[in-house]
Amino acid sequence: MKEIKGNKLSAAFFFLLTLTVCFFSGRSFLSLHQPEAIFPGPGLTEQKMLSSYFPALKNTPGDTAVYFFRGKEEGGRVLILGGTHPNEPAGLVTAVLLIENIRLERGSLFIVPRANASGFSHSDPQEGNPQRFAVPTPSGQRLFRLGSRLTNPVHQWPDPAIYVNPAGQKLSGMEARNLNRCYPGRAKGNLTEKVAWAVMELIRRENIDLGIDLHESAPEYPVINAIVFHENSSELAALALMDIQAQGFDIRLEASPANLRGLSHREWGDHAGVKAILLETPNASHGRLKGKPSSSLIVEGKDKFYTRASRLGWLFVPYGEEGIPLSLRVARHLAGVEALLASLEALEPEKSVICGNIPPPHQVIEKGLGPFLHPPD
Amino acid sequence: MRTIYLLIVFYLSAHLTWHLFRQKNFLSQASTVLVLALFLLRLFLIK
Repeated sequence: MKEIKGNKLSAAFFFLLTLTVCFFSGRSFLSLHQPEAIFPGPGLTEQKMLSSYFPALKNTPGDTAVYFFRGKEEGGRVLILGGTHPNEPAGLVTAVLLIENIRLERGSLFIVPRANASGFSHSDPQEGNPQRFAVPTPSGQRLFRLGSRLTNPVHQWPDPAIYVNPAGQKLSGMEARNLNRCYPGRAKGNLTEKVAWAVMELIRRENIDLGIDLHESAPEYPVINAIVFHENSSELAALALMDIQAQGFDIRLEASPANLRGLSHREWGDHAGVKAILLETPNASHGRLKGKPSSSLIVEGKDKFYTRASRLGWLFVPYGEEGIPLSLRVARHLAGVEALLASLEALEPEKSVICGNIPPPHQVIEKGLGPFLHPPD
Repeated sequence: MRTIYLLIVFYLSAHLTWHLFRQKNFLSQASTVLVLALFLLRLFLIK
């Protein structure tokens, strides 16, 4: 092949081209660092930052908003976390839906919609994921960020070869950036460990009774459509399971393994003594068998490869041609939250949290998410 | 740690730029800037 000669002029051209590409791509990447607006409903009592529980987090990419709802009567205190894994959108959207709709009649509710805020500022490399997904509302499309499972490496680097988490478990190096492997956190640890520590401080200082961590999992992963519970919450989880099943949702119980350390459902219970629950719904968009990643795959949840995998018996949930849309996944989480609050009231009436105006799960399935979301700004 | 990290990325970015202007092959220049773009984005802690 004939060699094409280059010179100083072509080098200067390439250099300018690089700067131009960096400018435009950089502007696009930097836009991911700005969280999308959340429009709290009139039920909101106070909005704080997570750093108010752990000042070392202030002015870091790990700081994130905490939405606080208080009822007229004293009661129980519940924490709901969305966005622990920012590539699991049902957790974020469920938290947003609650923040924008609920009114508390009794007890207190703390909602953190973007638990790993740094994870929302980038996307998983080599996945081709969209930066945002669009949820239709009657007044136009509402955009939400699809982030990464892990903290942004720009904010926390380098990963160790082997990560020994605060609970003493050895994990692969990148898990140092996985919030749900870093509990109970370290006050002088890396950024993700500091976020985990701040969440633990919130739990301790606010005397939380029940913590709910909202997640999603790939349809080929066995822990799916599940309530994962700490052993101190087994009765609560069993009661909630019956309630959710009575609403027509297929769901099962998974006990938190005592030797799987660093996860919310294990360390919240062990280190703060609170009832700890993690909810899982099926999400094709972060599974390994999916086709082209897109906003519609996240929102509509239709994927012919998952449908085929389901026919071949490779999945742990049925996956038909109609897909598993985001509205159904969010409805499952809402039903889970409602059932857990009802079960807490049944088991410990003095710790009840009575929450009004939760979007009814079956209406969310029927009408979609739009009618329950604030119109886009 | 961050300063050391940035110094490493700065050194590699400067080295690639130097290499780009010394390179006599057009296609080698093109492949150099593909790598340089990634280093510049990391140098400014964007991506």
